[in-house]
Amino acid sequence: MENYQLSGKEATALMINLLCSKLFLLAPGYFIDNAGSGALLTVIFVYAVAFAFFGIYSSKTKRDILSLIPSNFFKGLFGALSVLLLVFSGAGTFSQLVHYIKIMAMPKSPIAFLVIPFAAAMVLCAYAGLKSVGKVHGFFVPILFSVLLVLVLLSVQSFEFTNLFPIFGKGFRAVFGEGFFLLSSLFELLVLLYLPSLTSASFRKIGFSALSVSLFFFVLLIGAYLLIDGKTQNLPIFSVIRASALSRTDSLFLLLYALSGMLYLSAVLYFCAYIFGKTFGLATFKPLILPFALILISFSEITFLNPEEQIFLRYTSYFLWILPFLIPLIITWIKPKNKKFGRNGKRDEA
Amino acid sequence: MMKKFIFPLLLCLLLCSCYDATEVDDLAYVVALGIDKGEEKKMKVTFQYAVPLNISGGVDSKGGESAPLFSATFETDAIHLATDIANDKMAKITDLSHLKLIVFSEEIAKDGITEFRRDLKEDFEIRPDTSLAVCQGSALECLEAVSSPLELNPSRFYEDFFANTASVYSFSQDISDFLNGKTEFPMPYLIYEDALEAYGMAIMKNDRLQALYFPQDTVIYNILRNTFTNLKFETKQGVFRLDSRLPPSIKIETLDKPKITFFLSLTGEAVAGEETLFSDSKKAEQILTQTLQKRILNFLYKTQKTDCDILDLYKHARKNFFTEQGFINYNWNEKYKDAEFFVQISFQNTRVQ
Repeated sequence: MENYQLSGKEATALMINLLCSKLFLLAPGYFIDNAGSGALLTVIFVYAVAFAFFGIYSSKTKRDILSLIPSNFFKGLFGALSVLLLVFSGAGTFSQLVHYIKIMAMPKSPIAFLVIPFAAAMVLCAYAGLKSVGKVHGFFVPILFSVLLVLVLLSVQSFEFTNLFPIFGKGFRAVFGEGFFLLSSLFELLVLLYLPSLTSASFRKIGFSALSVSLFFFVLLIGAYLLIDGKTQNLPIFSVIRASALSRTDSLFLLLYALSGMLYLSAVLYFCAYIFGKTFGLATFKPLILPFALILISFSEITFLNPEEQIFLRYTSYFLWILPFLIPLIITWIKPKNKKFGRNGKRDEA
Repeated sequence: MMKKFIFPLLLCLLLCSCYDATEVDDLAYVVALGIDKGEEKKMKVTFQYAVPLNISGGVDSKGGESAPLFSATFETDAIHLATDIANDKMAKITDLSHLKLIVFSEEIAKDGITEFRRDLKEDFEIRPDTSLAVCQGSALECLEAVSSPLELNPSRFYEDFFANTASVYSFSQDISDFLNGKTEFPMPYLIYEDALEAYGMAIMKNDRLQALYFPQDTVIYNILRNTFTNLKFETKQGVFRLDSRLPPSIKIETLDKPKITFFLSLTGEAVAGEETLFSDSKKAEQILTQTLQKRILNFLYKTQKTDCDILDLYKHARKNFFTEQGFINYNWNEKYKDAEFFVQISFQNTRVQ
């Protein structure tokens, strides 16, 4: 299906952006809404679970998740669910991306003026293949997050450390109980489970590096939003950057936001087509990219009317984590019992 | 074949943003906004525009110097409606992205400013560092009294006026707290006769003007917030120059009657007054710490009497609780009324004997 193998840097950058892109949108708001000033503890707790999951998973297998599923029926079901949820997640991001860019930068333009270029760029990048997706991520993600780091640090003068208290915010149940379901915010970790057959680097190393860097940015950005006592649910990081010591740096936010969203969408679109092709044993999956893009854009229209509501994540957060976290663990647990699988550690090639 | 299409396609994509491009020449930049009570409608909105041609020292047709500011007032029911009317009448697009000050008249502040929160929050152009103030009398007259002979750039003038730490009689209250839903906060109180002057503090409670404090209170407020440099502090015996050695720290014991202790670490020296201030450094230190302590305590009990936690002491009290519910159960607002204040000052005299 794909001859190109992602380097370790490219694969890590891809995963970092997939995990962190939502920080530009509504993720900080979800964490703070859920736990109040205890949001940082929720982040750490959620990541502890993610690290533990990945530690167990990667110690048991180095293979693509699909190759571990014994029955074709379950393989099809898992693949189809992965694609469906990725399409919904991409559609939500797409809808928010164009909506907020319109509000911030192009209030008088018809929304189609934003939808068309973004859709075209997303399709072109995904159609150019894994090499394009990997190289673009490998080049832009380090720049993007370095600039973001500098911009956030420029806001330090507006930080009030008393805003981090009470340390458990809305209570232990909110932080660790309901907070557990925010594991769904790391739903894109699902893509990592498909990476072993697409990269020549160590799968375990990629996973741990991406999780560590994204944990850093989750703590930094959600912490910064708490520290400036941000209340607005829309574009929280925009509020952080607007509190910067240097005025007008927020114009850079638009660029970072658009870039991160664009990279996220191109990766999601590519993996939708790739996973679909791999699940159903297609010889080539590139012709699927355009139809998937059309489906993704059409779905984005559903949430278009009210992107602030983020209906998708709100109603799916209670079970969205099951697919990337619980099911893979069950699969790796039942795998040794099945003699057909796990006999060698070779990467699976479709 | 493909290459023939790439260039037009790229042009189409890249030129999308030209659709709502606005020329700088078409914009009229508002640097200050005044809100007065309306006669027929809800409010009178005064836009004070910067006149770019005159900022660089322009000369009018009669040969005299032209003012860098120009004001226009519109009576409406909402600020957004005022911008629409202004766009019609001025033949330019009113732009709030360079807004530096929003001033409410005392009458409006007494009636409450809650309704303006929604109006201002909707406007992405307004920046979070825009200052808020209350003025004596009319906001229109207050803005018209503005003259800045030493600073032609009006935007810069407003920035310096509020954010200048060398001036202890003024302070800056950013709009961000107000937009974030804070209803208890102080704003600079402006008066105008010959020129604009910050004269004390307007204390807001539940978005309404609750009390007016004197300029001396602003000095103490700036000391407690650590927003001062090279402060000249007057005592009966003489004048001290003060600087902050460490940021003030606050410790709150959340007992039945909260005990609130301020720890100040200052450095400085006597610069004028009785001879003992210069000859006996211990005596000088004693005079300063006692006077400052007394004034700070007076200020703190005054804020308590006004029932306004303008120093956000509740944020420090929250540190003593594990959960928000625990803090809510403690009922800070009620307990604050009975709080006891303590001030500890450590002063390092920099005068070489």
